[in-house]
Amino acid sequence: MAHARAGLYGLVSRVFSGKPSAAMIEGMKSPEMVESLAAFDISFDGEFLAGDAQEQAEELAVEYARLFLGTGEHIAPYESVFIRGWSEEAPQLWGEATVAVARFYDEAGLELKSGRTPDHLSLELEAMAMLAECEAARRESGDAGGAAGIEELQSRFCREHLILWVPEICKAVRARSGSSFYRGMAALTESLVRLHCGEADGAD
Amino acid sequence: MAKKKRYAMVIDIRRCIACHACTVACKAEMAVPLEVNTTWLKIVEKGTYPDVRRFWIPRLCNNCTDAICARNCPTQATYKRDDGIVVVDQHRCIGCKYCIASCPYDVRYINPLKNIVQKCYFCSHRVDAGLVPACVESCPTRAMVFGDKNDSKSEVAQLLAANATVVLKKEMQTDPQVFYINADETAMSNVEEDINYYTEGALAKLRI
Amino acid sequence: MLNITRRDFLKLGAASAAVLTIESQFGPIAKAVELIEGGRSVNRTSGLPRSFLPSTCMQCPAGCGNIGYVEESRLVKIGGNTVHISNQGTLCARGQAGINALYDPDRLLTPMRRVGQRGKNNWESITWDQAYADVTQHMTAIKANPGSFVYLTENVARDNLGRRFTYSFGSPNALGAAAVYDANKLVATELTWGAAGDMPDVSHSKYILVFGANPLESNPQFVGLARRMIDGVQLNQAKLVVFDVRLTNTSTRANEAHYVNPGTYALVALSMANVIMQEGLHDAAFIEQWTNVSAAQLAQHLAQYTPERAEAETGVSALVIRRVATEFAATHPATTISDAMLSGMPNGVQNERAVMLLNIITGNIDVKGGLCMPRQYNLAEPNPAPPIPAASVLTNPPDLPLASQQSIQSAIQLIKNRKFNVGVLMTHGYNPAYSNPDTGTVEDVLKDETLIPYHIAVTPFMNETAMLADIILPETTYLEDWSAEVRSSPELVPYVSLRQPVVPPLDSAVSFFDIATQLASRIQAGMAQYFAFNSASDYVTAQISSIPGLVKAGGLDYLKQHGAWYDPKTRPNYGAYTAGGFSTPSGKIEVASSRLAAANFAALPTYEPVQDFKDLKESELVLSIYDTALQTDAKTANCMWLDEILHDNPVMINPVTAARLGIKDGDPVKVLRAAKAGEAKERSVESTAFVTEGIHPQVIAMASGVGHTAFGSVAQGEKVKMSEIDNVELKDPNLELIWWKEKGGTGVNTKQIVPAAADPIGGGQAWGSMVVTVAKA
Repeated sequence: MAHARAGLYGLVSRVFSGKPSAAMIEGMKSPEMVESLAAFDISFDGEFLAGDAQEQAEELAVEYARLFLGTGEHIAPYESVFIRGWSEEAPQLWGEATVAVARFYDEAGLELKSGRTPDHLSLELEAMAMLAECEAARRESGDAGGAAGIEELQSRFCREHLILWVPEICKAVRARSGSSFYRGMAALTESLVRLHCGEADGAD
Repeated sequence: MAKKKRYAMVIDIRRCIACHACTVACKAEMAVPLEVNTTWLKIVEKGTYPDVRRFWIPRLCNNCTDAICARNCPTQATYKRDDGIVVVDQHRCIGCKYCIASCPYDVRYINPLKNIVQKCYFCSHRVDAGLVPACVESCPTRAMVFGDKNDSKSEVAQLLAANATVVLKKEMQTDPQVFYINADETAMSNVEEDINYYTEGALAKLRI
Repeated sequence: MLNITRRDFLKLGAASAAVLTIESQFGPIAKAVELIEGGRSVNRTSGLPRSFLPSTCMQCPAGCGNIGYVEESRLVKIGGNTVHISNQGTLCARGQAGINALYDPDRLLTPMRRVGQRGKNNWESITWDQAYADVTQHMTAIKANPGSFVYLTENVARDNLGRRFTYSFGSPNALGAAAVYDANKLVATELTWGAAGDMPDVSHSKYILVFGANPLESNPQFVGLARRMIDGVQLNQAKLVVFDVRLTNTSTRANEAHYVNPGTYALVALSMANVIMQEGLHDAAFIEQWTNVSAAQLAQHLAQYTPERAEAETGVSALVIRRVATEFAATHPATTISDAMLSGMPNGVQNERAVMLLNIITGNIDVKGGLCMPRQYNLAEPNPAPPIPAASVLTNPPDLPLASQQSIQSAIQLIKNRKFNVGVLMTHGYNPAYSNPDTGTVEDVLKDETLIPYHIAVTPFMNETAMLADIILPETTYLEDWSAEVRSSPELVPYVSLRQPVVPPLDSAVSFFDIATQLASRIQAGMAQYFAFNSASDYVTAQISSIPGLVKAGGLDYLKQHGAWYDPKTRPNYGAYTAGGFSTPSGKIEVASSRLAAANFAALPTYEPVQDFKDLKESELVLSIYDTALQTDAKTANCMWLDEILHDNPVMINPVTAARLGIKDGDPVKVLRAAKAGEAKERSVESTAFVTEGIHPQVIAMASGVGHTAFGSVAQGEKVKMSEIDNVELKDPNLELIWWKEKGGTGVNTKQIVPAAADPIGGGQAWGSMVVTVAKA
């Protein structure tokens, strides 16, 4: 289960981390992927499934930049832009939420290699993926207590951070993007987080 | 016996250049949301061309000695400290807005994010650490002066002793502790129209 | 509601893992990372200590000393640095709002390359490696013709690294935008007393005479000079007399404010000079010893500027001219203050020289309380330094031989008319598509790939110019950067101020030092040897090595701790020129400029009426674009605390004029400038009328610094537009408190309707000479 969670979080983290490669796009169209996504009520439109992955890589690069980078009206994918702290008056980078997230990584033993601001969406999702892998590893080695601890860490992060803003940003992506890829992945991310936080019916 | 501290502010309008450093200093220090201000400039224009001038006063909570807001607060969330600073206990405030209605100077506002009342409290957190309020520190021309007026050696006390000063709405008998040197009477009047959140009316008065 | 089974979850999880083949953004799970250590001293607020790092502001040209207060790795407040001579611990609204820029959600944090047509705003993010490779490829392609590289920056004199990069590549074309700002004044002062610029020693003055300037709201030193003016007026009882076309915070503060017909300041000044000479109130000894004219010569030249003539043309009464002239001459010490409103005219250089003359003939030159020469340290050029390639038509336009500050308008025209071929353009810290006159032409040039084959924009933010780039390199903001800063000191005691990062660079933003160094090593072409410094701070160390006192005090270490340094033993050395004379051909103050004469301009300060103002029709008005204390041209409109106060620019218009035109306060109005020869159509902007008594009936005025069309959501007052999906009203998480888009608007960039027109002497833009009509929109 933890492995699955790790896989899912890893995937969506990668989606928000940067433009997708042609290889990744191909992978998204594999029958197994399409079928699995269908169970989550997510499907890509015919245009996406039929398209040439190389061309799509360029299109989606532009779409990613349009959605998330500061070139025009865009969504800044940082928690502190969506969530304002006690003493905060307007969205900004490096808000109180950023500090709280940085503290969480510290506590969880996660060391940031990327220069990215800690509360970037892709980082928060990847942190969950890493912890889920760690949980799976512990479980497999028979350390049930340790595994439970890491599981609780993830749940806590979901409750204290992810659920507060990820559904919001996913809705924003779905409203703003003309690409069924990003709309689909946003829907998946929202479902994943809601599930994880116990907000939706489903596994675990 | 040593006199109690009585914090007060003197604003020498002759030195004020209406640069808004105090407005932004307060925004930054107090994390004031957009749409409302704890400190702001009221600017009016008087006269006819070519005999026309601008007059202004920085506006902030007067931390009145006889504060109506403190008297009326149902939960005693707002109260006056021994040193004269009137504060709002964020945890006791229930956002009933009685104090906003009570204040003759319209310096209080509801924080749109938290639904509690906030206002200037002379940066008591800085004062307690031995620092002047943020607006005073930022003022490029040192028009704002802050200190204990009961200490005859303080700059505030000396300014008060050497200069004629006016306060806002003296007739309300709240004994405001922000004293203005050389403030124009038009700028000092009609404060009930001069609201500290941005609407069409306030915008016209604050226009550069 | 989704009904997901455990099996569904497992299946998708496995499928997801199969798609993933990237490198993690995290290191392997280990124990906690070290905490970031704070600065040198502690500041207490909220009862908690804050780390403290002094640095130098860059929200306006003044470069005041600031302090960044950091808590838990982030900047939470900016205040003034008490040891900086200029601002002495205070900090203006713009300086404090620097946090808004640093943490602007619209910051560009990854390099980007355009996709599709230039200017369509389609980009893809690329890695720095890819970005450097792209730039290197294009620079290498023009190696055989290095002069086709053009580098555009705001202040080329201060942009040491930009010049180094350009020269080491083999191009002379490091261009600055002085012509858009204060070139005419710099040229005028240079021609007159051999130094660019001046410093009125106002805190010691007894009489301050202001022409075409609003120093209490805007001046090259801002706070440093504004405070000293107030000191002069308050503590020294200086009389303040202002001549202007509109009511400003300076004119309102003055003892006397006089409205002047537009474009006629110089006539007022020369008429006063005439009175002073006529009445024998001049300092005969000074004129004799230190100028290259005789009093008799000068008096004869000035005789034409009678107070009566001045009254007829300027609107200032002969009585006032005589009285103020007499007072100015009789009160010592006295000084004038003049700025871009005076010199940003087609006769700008002459205007400035006319005002300078008042100080010269009264012996107020470089005395305590008078008009003083600039005192500024010279930073060393770190060795090895690249040789400067021979000048080009861009750096030295042949039709502007005396334009020592370059002329960017001329450069744009030369490029547009294919008189100069650009191979690669790099823009850095300057936004010509917003800040230049005639922005339409700038945009046309930048859009044209045959004129600009490749455009690199080095910037922390998207803006009108970056929109037209091919590749964007996300630069650090000034709060994450290193540099050594020197300025003309308002205390007349020179100083050095350090800019150091108060927080580490955000995400993938890179400093220009690092960008230049990387490119130099990749492009080669002999560049790398000039960029062999270990770090930006090492470069700073090399720059300050020319200041022995600072080196002795501890050099960079001292600066890192204190933020700024000046020699405590230094006192203003008034009258320093007596030692070696002035740096002019004659060694004296060139009241009669031989260089002007040689170029067929009037050698003596002369009043030249603005031709466009002759016979103004009743419907015609003169437009004045003015600076404010809250916005610095193209730089600051992404700062929400500043935008909240100043976000639009209504048209200041006199009530009598407005009534005549049928305009009421708040009416939407159109400001229209007729088409010039060669232009297809007229230009106009729309705004709202602000009817005020505080403006000359023939003048309208609008603030600068607003009206961006590409500078992020705050500058444009945008709320992220959301649509409703699934019948759920979407909360607007971004910028929901940006209220001013609806109330007041975000203004308009008035510069777009101003034609590019330079003073023929100084090459500086004649902003104030534009005639417009105003009508209800």
